Amino acid sequence: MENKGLETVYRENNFRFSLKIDRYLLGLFIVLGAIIVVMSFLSANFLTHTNLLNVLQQASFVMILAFGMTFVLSTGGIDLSVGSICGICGGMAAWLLNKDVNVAIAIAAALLLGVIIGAVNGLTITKLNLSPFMATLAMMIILRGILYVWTGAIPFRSYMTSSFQFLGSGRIFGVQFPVIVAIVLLVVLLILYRKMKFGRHILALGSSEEAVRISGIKVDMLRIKVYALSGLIAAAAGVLLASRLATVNPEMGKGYELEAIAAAIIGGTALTGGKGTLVGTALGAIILFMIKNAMNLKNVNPYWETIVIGFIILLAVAVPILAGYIKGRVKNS
Amino acid sequence: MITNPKITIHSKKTANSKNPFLILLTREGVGVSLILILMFLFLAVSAPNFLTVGNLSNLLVQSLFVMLVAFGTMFVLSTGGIDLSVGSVLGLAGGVTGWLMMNGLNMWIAILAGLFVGALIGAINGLIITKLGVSAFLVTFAMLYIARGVLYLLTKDEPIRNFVTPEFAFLAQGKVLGIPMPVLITLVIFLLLYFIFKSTSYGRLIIAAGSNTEAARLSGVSTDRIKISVYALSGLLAAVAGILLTSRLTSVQPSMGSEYELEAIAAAVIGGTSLFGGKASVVGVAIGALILGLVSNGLDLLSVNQFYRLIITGLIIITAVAIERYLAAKS
Amino acid sequence: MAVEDDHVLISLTGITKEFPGVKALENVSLDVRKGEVLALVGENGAGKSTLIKILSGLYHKDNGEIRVRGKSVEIQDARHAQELGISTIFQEPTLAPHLTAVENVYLGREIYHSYFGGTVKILNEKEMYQETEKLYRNFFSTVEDLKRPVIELGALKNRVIEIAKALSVKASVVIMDEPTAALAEHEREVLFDFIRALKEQGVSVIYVSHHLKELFLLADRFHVMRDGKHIATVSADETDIDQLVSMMVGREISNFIAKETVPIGEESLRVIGLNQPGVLKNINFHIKKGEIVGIAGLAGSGRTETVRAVVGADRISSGAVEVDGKPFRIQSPRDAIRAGIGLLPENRKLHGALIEMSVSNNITLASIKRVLSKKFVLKKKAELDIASDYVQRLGIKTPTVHQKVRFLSGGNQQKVILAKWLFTKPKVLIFDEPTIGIDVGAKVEVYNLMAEFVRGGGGILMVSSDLPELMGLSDRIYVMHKGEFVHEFSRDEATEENIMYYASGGHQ
Repeated sequence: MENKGLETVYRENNFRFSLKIDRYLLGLFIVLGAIIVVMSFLSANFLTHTNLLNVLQQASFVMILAFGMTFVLSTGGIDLSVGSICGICGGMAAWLLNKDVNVAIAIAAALLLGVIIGAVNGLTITKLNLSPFMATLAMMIILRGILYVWTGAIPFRSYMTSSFQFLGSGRIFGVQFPVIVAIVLLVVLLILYRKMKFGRHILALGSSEEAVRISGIKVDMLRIKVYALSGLIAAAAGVLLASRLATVNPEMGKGYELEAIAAAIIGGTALTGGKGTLVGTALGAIILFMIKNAMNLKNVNPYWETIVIGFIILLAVAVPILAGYIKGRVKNS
Repeated sequence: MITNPKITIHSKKTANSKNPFLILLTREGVGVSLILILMFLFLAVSAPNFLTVGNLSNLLVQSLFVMLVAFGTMFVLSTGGIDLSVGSVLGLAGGVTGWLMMNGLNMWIAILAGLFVGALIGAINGLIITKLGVSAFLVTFAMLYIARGVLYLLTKDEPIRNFVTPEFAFLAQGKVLGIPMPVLITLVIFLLLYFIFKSTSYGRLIIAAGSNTEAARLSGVSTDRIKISVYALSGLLAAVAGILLTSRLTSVQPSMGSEYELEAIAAAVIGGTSLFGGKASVVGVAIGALILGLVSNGLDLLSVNQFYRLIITGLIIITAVAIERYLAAKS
Repeated sequence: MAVEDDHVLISLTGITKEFPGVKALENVSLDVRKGEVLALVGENGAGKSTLIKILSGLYHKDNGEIRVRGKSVEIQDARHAQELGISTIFQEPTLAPHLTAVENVYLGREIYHSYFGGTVKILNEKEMYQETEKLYRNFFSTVEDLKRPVIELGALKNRVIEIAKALSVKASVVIMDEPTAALAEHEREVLFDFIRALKEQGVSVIYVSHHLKELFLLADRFHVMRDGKHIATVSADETDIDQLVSMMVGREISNFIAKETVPIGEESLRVIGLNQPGVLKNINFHIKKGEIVGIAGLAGSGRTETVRAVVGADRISSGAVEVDGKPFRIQSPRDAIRAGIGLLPENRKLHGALIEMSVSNNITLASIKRVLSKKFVLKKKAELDIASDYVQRLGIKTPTVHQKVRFLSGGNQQKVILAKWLFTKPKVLIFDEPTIGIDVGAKVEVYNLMAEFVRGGGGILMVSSDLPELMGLSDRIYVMHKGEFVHEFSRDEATEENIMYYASGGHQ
């Protein structure tokens, strides 16, 4: 091949790179399809209306959290506190309902709490100059502690009202309400992410903070908003979960932050920021839970589950890198 | 001779006219020691049972497990990485040792096997991180799941217990010259690590690789090898903690050591380790772990709900990191 | 001022800015006229960047007056500066790499459709695209690649996008800080054409650059600064490089750099058939003891890649290295040190020194084995003695050897890096842009140290974009073009013109 000079080389190389996200999404669909095909042969119970809806239902809570996580990861940040926010906001709703507060007000209060906690995360990150990892890690521990102290380690119970119950267990046209919430959220957030200023600025922020600053956008405010959004979404998941489980124990939502990160990563969102896909995240969550479901149906020892999830995460991050190696990359140093 | 006025003045300032108080605070471990002493004094005054030999030695032993893990975390953090798998490695290493002994293997071989498992998992972490260029967070996060899962499998048929021989129990429950064995073991490890970090080329190269990997590599430092070894060391130290904990608890629960990674990160950052690499202090981390132990002990003695510990720990982390960031921005 | 007021777009009078302990700007005045290119020149630390940061709203002045079109203003922040018609293109690229040209141009000022009484605002991608396209047609007369992420585009297109972004806010004054820094020669020409087109449309440009020669192609007037003060403003027709330099440094300096003659010895380094797919093609060269060998070439011609490949910093597909006639397998910088080769990289802060570590730790880093006892214990006293010795011998200005390298000036940082390599007892040193960003005085000291090294029988390979420097120091010069060595000049044959002829591909 003729030496076309540096620029051409870079360009060819990067051209592949630009196609990668789309290819990756395609790959996710293929993986999902493969799981469905294989499982439908292996288990008669898999490809049933009920089971598939069940998978979606189980996936919906983590999926909702993962949507928020996708926004945060797109800025190059991380939010480890979402599991705890989920717990404490669910607790807030339950506690208020138990005190006979109107359902709408209880939910609004829980959501508001989520926004406030998220904003506090954003404030510690921007104003105290903490790394997002540390700030949200500390918040995760603090909130979990507060929930323990608040409940006194005894789960909140007897708060259920019929209207509240609908959130977690109701169905519309046979589809569970949490699934509907997840779908609606996906559509709304997709517009926010791809078609509105906020999403554009978030992607720019994760891509180059300097670019955003110089364009006259208030970076700190943007960051605070992102974490507040993540808090709000986590709170919504918490409310749904409180309704679904009918009790709020102090461990509620624990470890969800990791599953949410896993879903986003499997979906093709980078930890380094600048790019992300909500559709990928949704697929990531579904794949995660479909595998859990498949192992369940095949009576695989549940202890294998954690191992398999671990390997899936490794695979999801290693595949694009390995693909890059195979295609032969040009060092641009 | 033309020099940049800004730079000369700046360097003079940092050399001479800095607030002596700030300099003192930034000295290794001084800031955290102050916090430790203040907490110590507070508890000595307000909790009558605090200043007893029994309580203090108990407090010390309780902090050691986190301390050991935190040393490894410190090494990893100072190369600019992170290791979330240590809690699971701790559990698995303890589990492997216990399981082997339960199946009649010699205690020392079982211990060696446990240590080997820890170092091996760490080395695998390091290999994937350096050779594939995957973020440390994700790799060790995946390893957290995998190692925990393997421990679950080890314990699935029957719980790991009834394996403890008197010699094995001695490791964590015995005393030599009135000093609990775990304290002695940790002290030896502490001194060794302190020496390694301060006075050997390995310690220097860790800091170099952490503060700027590419520059260190261009200066002939085998940065990949250093990083792999650091993760292996982190796994090894977690395994030591796991085996000691197994000896102390005389059984292995499948959840043993879960969330130790958080405590270890907390102890490390309280001890002044920077999450951005290139800065760490063995003394600081030891004190950080003691502070975490003191919080828990103090709540017990003051009969405050243990759940407050989480809240206090979180607040201490934020404060410690904020102070570290503030001081870093200052200089 | 003698100029008619309606021609003056911006006028600064008596601008003062202090940072703790430093007076960055003292009583600086400046006028920008409509449709002119005003060159802002001065040494590092002269206050140029402080001045443009005040104009672009990133710093606030302490004292003085800023008038925009005759009206006195206080520039609040970046956005306010843009509203006043002042746009800045900074030296470091400030585009978001994953966004497209259009998205970057409109970042922070997106156009949108409003729905539900303005509560929901959906981006109007179509209009943003059309507006950007219109802008491109107006100023650059070409439209391409507006919808690709800018990370996929070359340096020139990135610069053009930044200019488009600056213009899209209806800027009447565009400040450019070293806009040609990442550009190759021919791209530079294209950019200059664009800037001339701006002038014709009445846009003024404040152009900050160290390349005085380049500035004469473009500038109408020169605004010279030194130590935070305004020294003079001169028209381009009435001055020359020598006069500008003497105003910048405050004294006449000899622009002529000459290498002293030292006896040339045996061959020290030989590189045979170095290949790196798509980057380097069949590189062959050698260096003798006592020689300084230069590599000339345009940005992107593969000079840095060559020296990195030689020391094993990047992988190569084939090639061999011999030192003193013996072959060495070099796969990492560590192997290179063993073979006796050291590289002083172009980017000192990122690749050269470990700026967060002390002077002494930096000096011993590359040969740490030599300060060890029992294979792994550091001999700290010996280390400090060695460091102090080098600090003294190389004239490194630092309060103590414990000082972090970050706090040293560029020239002293370079000397610390040099000390590190000298301590490895190298046979060959490779300098990539040895004096980039270093003040004139410190440059001479670096040259002297290089001369001392070859006098002692060492060989030097040197990459430099500064042709007078390269020609003054080198015994021989290799010229690179598109990843190949295309010509070799002896010292006497080399002139700026014939080097540039080969470097820009004129031989083909």
